[in-house]
Amino acid sequence: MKTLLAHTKEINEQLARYGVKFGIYKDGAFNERLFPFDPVPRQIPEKDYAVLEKGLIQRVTALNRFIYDIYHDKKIVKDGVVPEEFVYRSPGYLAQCEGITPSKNVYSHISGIDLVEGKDDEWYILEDNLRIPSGASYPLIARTLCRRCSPETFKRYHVRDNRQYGALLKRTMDYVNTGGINVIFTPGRYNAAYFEHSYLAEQAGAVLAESGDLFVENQTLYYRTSRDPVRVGAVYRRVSDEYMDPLCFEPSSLIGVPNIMDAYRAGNVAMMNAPGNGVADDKGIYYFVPKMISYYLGEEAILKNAPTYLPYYEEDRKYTLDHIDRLVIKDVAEAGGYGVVFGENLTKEQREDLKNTIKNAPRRFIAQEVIDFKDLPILENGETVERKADLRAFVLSGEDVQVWPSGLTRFSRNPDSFVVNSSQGGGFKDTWIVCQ
Amino acid sequence: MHRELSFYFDTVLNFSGSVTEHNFVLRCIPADNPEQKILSYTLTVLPNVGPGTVGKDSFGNFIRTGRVAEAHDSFRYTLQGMAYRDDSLRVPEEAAPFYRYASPLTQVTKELAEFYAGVAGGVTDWNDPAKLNALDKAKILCSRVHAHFAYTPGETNVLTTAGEAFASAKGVCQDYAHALIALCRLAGMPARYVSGLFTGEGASHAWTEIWMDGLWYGIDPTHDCPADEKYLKLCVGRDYADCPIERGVFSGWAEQTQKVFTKVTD
Repeated sequence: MKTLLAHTKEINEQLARYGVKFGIYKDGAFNERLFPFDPVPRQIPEKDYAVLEKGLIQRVTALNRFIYDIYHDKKIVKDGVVPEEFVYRSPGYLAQCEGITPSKNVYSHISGIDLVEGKDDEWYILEDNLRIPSGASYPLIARTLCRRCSPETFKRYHVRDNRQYGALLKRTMDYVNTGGINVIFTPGRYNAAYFEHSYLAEQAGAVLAESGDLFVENQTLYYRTSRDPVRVGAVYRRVSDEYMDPLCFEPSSLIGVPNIMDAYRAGNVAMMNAPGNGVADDKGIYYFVPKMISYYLGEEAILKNAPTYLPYYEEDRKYTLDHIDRLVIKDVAEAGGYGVVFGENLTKEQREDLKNTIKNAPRRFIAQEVIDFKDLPILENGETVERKADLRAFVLSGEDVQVWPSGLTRFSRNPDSFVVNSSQGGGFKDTWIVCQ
Repeated sequence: MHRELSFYFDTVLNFSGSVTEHNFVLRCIPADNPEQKILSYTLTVLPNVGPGTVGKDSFGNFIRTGRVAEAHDSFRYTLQGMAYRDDSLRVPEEAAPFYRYASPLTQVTKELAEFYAGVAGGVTDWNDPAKLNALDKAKILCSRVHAHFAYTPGETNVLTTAGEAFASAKGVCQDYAHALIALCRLAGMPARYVSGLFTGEGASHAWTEIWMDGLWYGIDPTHDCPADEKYLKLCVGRDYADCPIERGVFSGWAEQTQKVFTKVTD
């Protein structure tokens, strides 16, 4: 391990050379930042991982069933398990996707499930990311570089290999492919995750395409080449739903493919992840995931949600208002660490304001107990300090549902902060599944 | 009263320069259902893009999509055919739940909410379904919307929301329909937007449908009357954005002008 840590600077330099960056828009300007890598890996013992794996497979299986149900029979709503307005007022619900059945019924091909490990040694699900979760490329390339810098470390530690992510992604794409090539579709160079798009295309042997590279003719998606166009059977699109097709969603979008939704609806191309998935990773819907698991699978949820209250229900609203000073309040419409407020950080006045906002629009918020999650050691100026960290696990749904035996561990560089999102200045670690 | 409608609908888009890579979606093929049987129709698209495929979107509308790759400076689609209209033949159906919720163009603004409260508060038995059913309420709201607006072309466009148009009290059929949809949904009834044609000559029209006890009822706030067998329905959605009759994107720097001619006779 020492040799690995000694290479911190080198690995970060290599990452910078490879362009492992994420971009953020701040005050209208696009900036790229390095995503700081900390070489001390998060280690998860194999036996703990086995539980996580089972729980994640169960969760994603239920989420997929839920999305299918919402865009078809809506049984879970009719049976009163999920209140109708949580579905139809969710910004992730897209009426334009009603009745569409994606190839092989898979909606969430690549799911990024965020978890934290509590000080009570229990894992808690923080949120499900089913639209276009990013981040797998970071530990993937970091592992490769670490192995290169310090091969002896990986002889001593029995770490499950994670370098098969590209192959796993390819298998997932091949399974739903309706005939034609696999494409990774990026909004372009100035997207926050462009590095990842290009790296994953290389790893999965897929073609990296931008808007002008694709077109639809006769309800079929094609990739332009210098010779004849080539048919596309699966598109792993990294453009959000509303910009994906100017003839179906946001008309002003220049980064989509006109009529791709028509090709998709006709069953002539697989879109991954399927449009409309956002209905299942809404922060309000999160509350209902354990209920979905028992509704669709007849099983008890293996992985717990963080204790969550829905101010929509009177009892929960009362609890939220009474305990606001120790809860974290999340605006269900926001993402990326935005719209998250810790009650304890508010002034008395702000707290009253927030209470009134919750009273006026209870459906807009969820309240959660602040989980005291385990600190992880990170290296800062040669010293080890403890910081909050979470884990994004990647779950791929193809012929079967599989968990990638690794994951993105993000940590907060601010000792007082629980917010680990890269857009908020955090760093990342590799995640090791360790066999003993 | 049943009618046999003969319809003709011709739209020409002229571009000031040539455009390429023109992708389009048309929702001009009329709805085909028991109360509006399409006896025959032809749809011609120029430049000729072949017969193409007609599919259905998530709102049940016929859609014809296509692509004109080569340079062209006009685009024309012409629909003609015959329909048999008889509202007594409607069969009960469920209303999709999303028709009860505000959509992007029909969000409830303060003005709309206050207007609604004013109507509801001023009508006796508003909350007694035994005396006023959903359709009765919709008709009252329809008259109020009709009286509120001054029909004014050119003040609004396809992106104008119900709230914006309502605040200015000026607009065209689309704005009337949006305002009425927002108000009907406030009253708790499923409501949707209809694009279609109207007996006579002129342009395409838009109105509102509300759902009660399994049936959709057309009401036209622009004319303050029921949308009966003189109306030919092309497509429906939560609001205009779900069901434009024609939508297209193309490459090229060109101004676009549109000429529409419709004729429906019985």
